[in-house]
Amino acid sequence: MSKFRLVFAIAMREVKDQFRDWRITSPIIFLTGVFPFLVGYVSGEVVDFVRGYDANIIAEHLIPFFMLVVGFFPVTISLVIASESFVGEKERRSIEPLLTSPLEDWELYLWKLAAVMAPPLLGAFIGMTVYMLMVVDTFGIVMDVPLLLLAVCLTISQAFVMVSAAVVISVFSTTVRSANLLSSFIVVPMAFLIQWEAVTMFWGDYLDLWWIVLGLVVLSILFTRLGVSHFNREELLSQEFDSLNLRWLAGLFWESFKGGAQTIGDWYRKELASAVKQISRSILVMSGLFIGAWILGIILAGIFEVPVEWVQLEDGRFGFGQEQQLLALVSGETITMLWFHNLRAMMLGSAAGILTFGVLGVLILLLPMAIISYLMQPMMAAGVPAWKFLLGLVIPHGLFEIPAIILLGGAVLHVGVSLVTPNKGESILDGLVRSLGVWAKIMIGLVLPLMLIAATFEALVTPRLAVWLFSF
Amino acid sequence: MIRVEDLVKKFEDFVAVDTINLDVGEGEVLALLGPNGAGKTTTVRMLTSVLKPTSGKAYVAGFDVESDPKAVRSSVGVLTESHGLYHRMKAEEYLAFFGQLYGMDQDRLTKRIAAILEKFALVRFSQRRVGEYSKGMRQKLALARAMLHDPKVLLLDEPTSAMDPESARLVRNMIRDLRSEERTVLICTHNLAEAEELADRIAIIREGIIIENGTSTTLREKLLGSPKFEIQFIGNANGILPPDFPGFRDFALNENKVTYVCDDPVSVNPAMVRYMMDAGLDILRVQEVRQSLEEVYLEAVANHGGRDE
Repeated sequence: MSKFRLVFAIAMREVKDQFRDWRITSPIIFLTGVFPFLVGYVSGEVVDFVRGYDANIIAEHLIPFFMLVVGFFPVTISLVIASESFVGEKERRSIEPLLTSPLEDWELYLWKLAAVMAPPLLGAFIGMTVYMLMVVDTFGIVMDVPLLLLAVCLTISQAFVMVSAAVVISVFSTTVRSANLLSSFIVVPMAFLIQWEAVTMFWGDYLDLWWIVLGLVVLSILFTRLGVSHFNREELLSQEFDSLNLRWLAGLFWESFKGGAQTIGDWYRKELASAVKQISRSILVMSGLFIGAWILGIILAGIFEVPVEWVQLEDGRFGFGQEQQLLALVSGETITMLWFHNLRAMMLGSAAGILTFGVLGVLILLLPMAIISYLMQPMMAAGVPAWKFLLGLVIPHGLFEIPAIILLGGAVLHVGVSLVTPNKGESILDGLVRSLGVWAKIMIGLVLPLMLIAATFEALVTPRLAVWLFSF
Repeated sequence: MIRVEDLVKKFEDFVAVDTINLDVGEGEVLALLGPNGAGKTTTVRMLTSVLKPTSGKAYVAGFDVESDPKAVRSSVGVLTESHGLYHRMKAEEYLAFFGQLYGMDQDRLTKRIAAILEKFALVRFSQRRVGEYSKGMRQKLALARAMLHDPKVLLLDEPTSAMDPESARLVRNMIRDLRSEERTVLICTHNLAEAEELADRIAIIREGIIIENGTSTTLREKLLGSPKFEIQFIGNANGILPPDFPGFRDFALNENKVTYVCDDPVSVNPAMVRYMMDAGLDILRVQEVRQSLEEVYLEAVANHGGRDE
């Protein structure tokens, strides 16, 4: 029997076992047999109401949204099944006989993933079909095939994200209770996403919804990668109870942060240098993305043009009022203000990055570059040469700020990469804590001082230079 | 069939198994005897390639547990500490599922399931859900699962726990059969009587360290020293004095019996009988005082830093 056939056969066994559990079957039956009719009735009332005001277009946009809702609810059960299937087996200790079998870790993982996804997705599709037939029968509205495809893809990708994330939670939970509690971290963002999808669907921005599908697929691939990396026998059996050994974690962080350094000089020379080397690939990627952000700014400036008259320059020169405004910034207070402001953005980028495998954090950190290149375009259209714009407004402090951003972006990416590609024998928490140690090294050793120098230049040098350069 | 060399397992800063060495041959039964938390289960988990050793080497059925985990897992049958059955499944269904996991073909699996259910007297219950089984029946089914794919090596963690005496006897007989079939069995237990009854050799493990390893006889000799004898008289033996034989010691008189320890029973015991008869005592019985494995175990533990609770 081929490996995949074996996985499939075993998954089917598990699905069969799930269908014997009334706690799983009863909500699925309700959500496929009753809920679509309930939603059908509600949507009927809403459609009648809006049609009463001749707002047929609203009615047409509400129907596919309700279909998404019908599909989403059964899919949420997958979280419970995932907890039951992974942590439940750990809790009941029935996972150990499986782990002593010759199955590979990835086979076990795939089998579980397939088995967890199948019943809720089946429920979702049955529910959506029932609802769709009701819509055709009651309102005579036949949904377009692309729209139907979109709804199906959204449902599948949402299920995939939820299950893959739930599996990650399950891998490092030891009780169903704790896994269910942690699952709220999945349900809440997904609920927000559904609301966003509702608004997008209501406005008929179907292309945006396809982008959401793409984002969800990428996210679920990252979660699956994370799950496969950490779904191993060692990790599943090593944890006996849910507890955080904070002392040990602090020790691990300190070990990663301090390394073998005895003095600050030693730390800078050896540890920080090795940290930069460690994240060199991420720095390279971040640098590439930085260039990408610059190009994106130029492209966006072509699409969303800023009228030249908004650039309030007189023949490419500052007016008196602008000079005064800029020179008023030159003060010690501005240094502190700029430093704290930039650090806040850096911390936000880091936090967002740690929660999203580095993705959102990097996007936040890239934003200033895209904005600068976007703003440079109308300036150039207003007759300001690129060198003048860059030299007067960007380079003095940018010389320090840009490397700081790239370094921090690299460290944030490194955290994400460490999570999805852990070192051998390293748990999620170990990998996270170690990579946070590297992040802290970069942040404290390089980013903070660079940002302080950048703020000093931005407050004391850039305004003066800008005023001088823009005076002729 | 099982060879363990300087095996260590650490969990963060806790050492669960500390540099253990074991060698279990074909057809041999080894009991790993120790209290809860001694490192027995961790050892079994390493021997089934479920946990990776921190250092050291282990070979099971000729395969390295680290480099060839799949081959190791295919060659061993494991009865885990907690039997971990699926309660909504029927026994036959359950065995068929695990047979699939071990890659058994359908024909062989069907025959094997029938044979093993028969062997464990579970045929009558094969169509019942496992959740309806008694504790003993569940343990039997878990053992059946471990033996289903006919493994050369069996690692049995507490094989008779929760079993009624009749079922426990059945399982013990089965383990004896396994030995006669030249299979290698490692039993983890804290049941001293079971270890003595089933095992060819006993390894006492405590706090992750194997503190003693040998047959029950050699362990007794090593830990409890020379044998102890008892002579029982018809009537009271008050006033009798200890003789002065070489290697004779620990003489104790208790109304109608005396006990003593001697290094050379062959020369001392006949001389002792003559001495008592010369003293006018009528001997009812002369026997060796059998010292239990419990005493051996407690002595071993005491020699290595204290007694278990």
